[in-house]
Amino acid sequence: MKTLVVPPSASASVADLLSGTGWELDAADGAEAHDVGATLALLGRGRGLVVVPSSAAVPASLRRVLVLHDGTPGSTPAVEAADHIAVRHGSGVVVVHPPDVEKLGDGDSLTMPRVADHSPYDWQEWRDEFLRRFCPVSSGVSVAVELVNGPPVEGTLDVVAEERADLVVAAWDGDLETRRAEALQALLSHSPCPVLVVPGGDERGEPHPPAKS
Amino acid sequence: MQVARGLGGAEPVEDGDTVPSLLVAVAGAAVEGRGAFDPARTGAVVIDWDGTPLDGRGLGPRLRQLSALGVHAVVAHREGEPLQDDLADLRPQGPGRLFYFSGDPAELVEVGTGGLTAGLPRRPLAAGDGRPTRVPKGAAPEQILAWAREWLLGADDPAMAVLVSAAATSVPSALAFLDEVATAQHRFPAEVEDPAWRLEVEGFDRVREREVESWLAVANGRTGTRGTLEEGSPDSFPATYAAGVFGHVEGELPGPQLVSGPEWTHLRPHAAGRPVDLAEGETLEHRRVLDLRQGILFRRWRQRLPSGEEWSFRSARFASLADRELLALEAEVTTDAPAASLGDGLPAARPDAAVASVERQAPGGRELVTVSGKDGQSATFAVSTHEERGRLERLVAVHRSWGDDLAVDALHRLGRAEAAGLPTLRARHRLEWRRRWADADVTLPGDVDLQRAVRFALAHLISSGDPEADVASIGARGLTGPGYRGHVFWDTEVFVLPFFIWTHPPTARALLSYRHRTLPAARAKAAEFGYTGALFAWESADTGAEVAPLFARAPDGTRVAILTGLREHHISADVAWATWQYWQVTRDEAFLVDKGAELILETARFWASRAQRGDDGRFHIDGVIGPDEYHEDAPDNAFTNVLACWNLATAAKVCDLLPRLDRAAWEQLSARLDLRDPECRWWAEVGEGLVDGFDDRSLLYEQFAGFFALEDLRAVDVAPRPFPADTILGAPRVHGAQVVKQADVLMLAHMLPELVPAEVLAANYRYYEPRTSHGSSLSPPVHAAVAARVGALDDADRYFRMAAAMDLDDRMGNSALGVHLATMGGLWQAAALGFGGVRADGDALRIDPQIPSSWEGLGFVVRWRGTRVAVDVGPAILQIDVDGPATVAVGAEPARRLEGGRYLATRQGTGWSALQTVEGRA
Repeated sequence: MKTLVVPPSASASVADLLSGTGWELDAADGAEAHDVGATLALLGRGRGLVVVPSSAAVPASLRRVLVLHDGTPGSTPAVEAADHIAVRHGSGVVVVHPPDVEKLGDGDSLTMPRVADHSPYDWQEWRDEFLRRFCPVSSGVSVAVELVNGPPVEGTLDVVAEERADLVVAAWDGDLETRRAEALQALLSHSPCPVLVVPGGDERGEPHPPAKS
Repeated sequence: MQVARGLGGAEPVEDGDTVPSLLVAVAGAAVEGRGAFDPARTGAVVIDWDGTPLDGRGLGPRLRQLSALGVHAVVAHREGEPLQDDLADLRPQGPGRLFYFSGDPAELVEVGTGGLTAGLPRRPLAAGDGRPTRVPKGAAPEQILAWAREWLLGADDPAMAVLVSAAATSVPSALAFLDEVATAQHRFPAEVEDPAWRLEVEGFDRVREREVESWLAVANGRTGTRGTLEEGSPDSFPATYAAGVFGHVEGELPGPQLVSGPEWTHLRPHAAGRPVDLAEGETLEHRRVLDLRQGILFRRWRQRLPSGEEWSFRSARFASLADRELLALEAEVTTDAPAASLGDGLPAARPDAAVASVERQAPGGRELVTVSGKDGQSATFAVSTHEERGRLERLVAVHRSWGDDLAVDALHRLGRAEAAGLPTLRARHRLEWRRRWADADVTLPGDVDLQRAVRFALAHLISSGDPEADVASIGARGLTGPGYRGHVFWDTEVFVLPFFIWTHPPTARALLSYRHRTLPAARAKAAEFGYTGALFAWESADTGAEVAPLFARAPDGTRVAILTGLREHHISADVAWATWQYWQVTRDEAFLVDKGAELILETARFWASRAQRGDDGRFHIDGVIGPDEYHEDAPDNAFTNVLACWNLATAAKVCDLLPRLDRAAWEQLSARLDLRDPECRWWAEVGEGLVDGFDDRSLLYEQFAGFFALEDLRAVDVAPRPFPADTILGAPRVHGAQVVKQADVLMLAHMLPELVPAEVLAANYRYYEPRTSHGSSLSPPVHAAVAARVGALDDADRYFRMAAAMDLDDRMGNSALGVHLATMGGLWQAAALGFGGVRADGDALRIDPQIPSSWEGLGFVVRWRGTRVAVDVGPAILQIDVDGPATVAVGAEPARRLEGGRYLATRQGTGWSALQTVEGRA
């Protein structure tokens, strides 16, 4: 069983909510909510971390779980964690994807269609294919995906607020230079709900050595 | 062993080859190794017969058997006078052709099914598919062999031609040899080896599997089957679609969608009591090849089973291009594991919201599955499976119905297919592909990857059309996936149809007939909007009623109104344009009189009611969406207005032309449409008064009134293209900016080149090209074509490659729900009409090629008013082969009447010299 660190800043009720979701809770390790170095260290040891930013309210239940997804297999651990939680709590899962527009060069992967000939269908197709590729969930778990338009950091925070999420789950490989890291750091500081960070891989889904803090 | 000199591509048989002693020479580009011989690959047999009386020894029956299996034969008899009885016994009986070459006179003749009963026919042979059917007088057998190889098979055909001696002492051996060739045809088919004809997918990538299934779909315009693994996988999306069979679904995007039939390719491979799949054990080899030359999907798979034994599997499947109701699968397994088997019936139907019912029966050991859509159409699949000693053959006959008896017809067709046998059906299919490629191929020597990508597109185009039926048109994803639900857009008329118009007119005619069949719905839509005439559906399915959704969920989850079905009216002019293109290229008077004229007149009538006279005294068309769908409420969209103006003017031409073609038909039509002279004059007035947004000083068309006042945001400065600007920048930003989704003004220049002079085209290309994000797959091929005409050949090359890569380089699964047929059609247009510079110029075919300096050459074929015109362009030479009379103009030269033969022009600056006749070619 993987270990999830619940620092003192997170209330006991968060720990209660996350019990039975495939993680062994460890309340002894005291990482600060936005201490990147401590987070990296924990992730590097294969442990997860739950963070309750000062802006966040602790939910009474986990009805809606958001997954921050970068459109690569590197985010799969976050989907798996959200799936566990959804099975335990009957939550709906919404996958939030800020596309990395800087990767629009020829030959690079863009995790959204470059073209949409007949938009109503292309959008639906994109959603269906994205979920099939990257978001396998247990039977009975409802999952949807939303694309973040415009600036990814602000857009992600907007979606989290609009969706009235009870928990955000993100996978992080410790790389500070990615768009995913940028959005995650913003969430750790400003999310209106707790954030669960689990160890992730790189774009190919391979474990990424933790960056030096 | 006899050894003949190699001649014209023929390879002499070498010592050491395991061949019959009477085999003189083989000729085949695909032969592995010099002189190697494989009877299974024999596509043509030349029999060097010395006239020895056959006395009923069975040459005739053997040649008929080979003919049934698709093997061509030439009986070359150069001396003496054969017995009439022997000659009478020589006749074909299937797709394989039979020729006879006699010494006196030295003339090669094709033998019909009636045989050579009354002496030799003396008439010249029909041109057929454009290949010469004569060899020089007094030709040696090796020359006939070279002819058979080059012209009967085709230089890049994987089959080989062989020369066999049938002299007095070797007749029995020759007959035994023919038996061996016939037996070998029943074996597993061979894949084409030329990499430019193979789309090869190695391994298995679960993330990309669904787009691979789209690439590897086999279709024939009647049905389409995705390239799903026979045993399936959790990542598979299997489907078989029957064109025109829809069912209505509810949900976020309510409307009709193509119904999915049974998984006829499904197998249940087992060994030692356990299922065999890629997930169990170790995969030693897994390769799928879409053989573009033959229209066959091959699979080879070796697996180390968990029990340690090796499992070797191969399969081949096709949707017959020759017998469009037929589908076939053959599979073989070799393994040391006990109790190996491949199949025990089709699986249960998957849930499909469009399906009203699935009925299954098992008459006489066959399976009969009828899938009925919720819109009343049904398709019945009659399936026979035969498995014996590790080989499985499955034949499927498909019958679509709009209420008649399905089962009887499907079973009847299946019975006929079973009687013919899979090898014969496969041969017929292969030969039909060969015929189609003879006119459809585009050659790009020296660039294998680009060549393969272009042929991949052409193969899917060929697979998408059905010349025999007008009950359905070609959906934007064809029959390769559920994308766009099988709906028909302007993609078909503007992007796909030109390919068929210029290379296979019967299919173009069927597609236009579909539009004619849906005229009642188009009239109803126009009336609903308060107009007259015909306003075609932006999205059409079975009846032609508008099926575009009114709302959709945007990628960010917001619900947005969809206005295309309400405002994208240029579809009516697009249909008229395609109709006139067909008339210009084919001069098919019967179609123009019966259907084409009505399409053009009724769409013109719509535009005359759609345009409104403004305060300025001019006519305007407001509130439309042009091709650039980023701007949804465009007043006086130049593309729409110019097309409407053209539609009105063309209708006036039809009013003048039709009475001269068929006065009685014209009087009948005009009476039925209640069409009188004042209305025609009104059309002319509206057309002449329509504003077109053209500015004489800048030479620019303004995309729509007010476009130039928008934020001057150039797509090229935003991000590397292509990119979806509305998603990246947000819809409000692109609405207020000059960022263009796809060719709009340039689209009108592409469709109506005669209206846009070179300097106007260049000015508009310079302005709009950098502002276009290419957020539609339709954009790159049109830009390639326009850039080629402008002379921006590096741009043209870049856009051509971008279009060619649209499906094959897609990494985000935009192709998972089907390939993009409009891009593929646009790619052909870019090659032939763009780089090739082909267009109708009055009664002449004008050819003005421009190819990038990095290209070694370009070759393609067009059909111009019944004549096959083969064009080969090199850096300095333009070669044109015509198989009949044609009026042709090259570059800026005046038109010239050509007779059958070869003509050359040479490069002179940016133009071409006058055509010179090449002597010495029949």
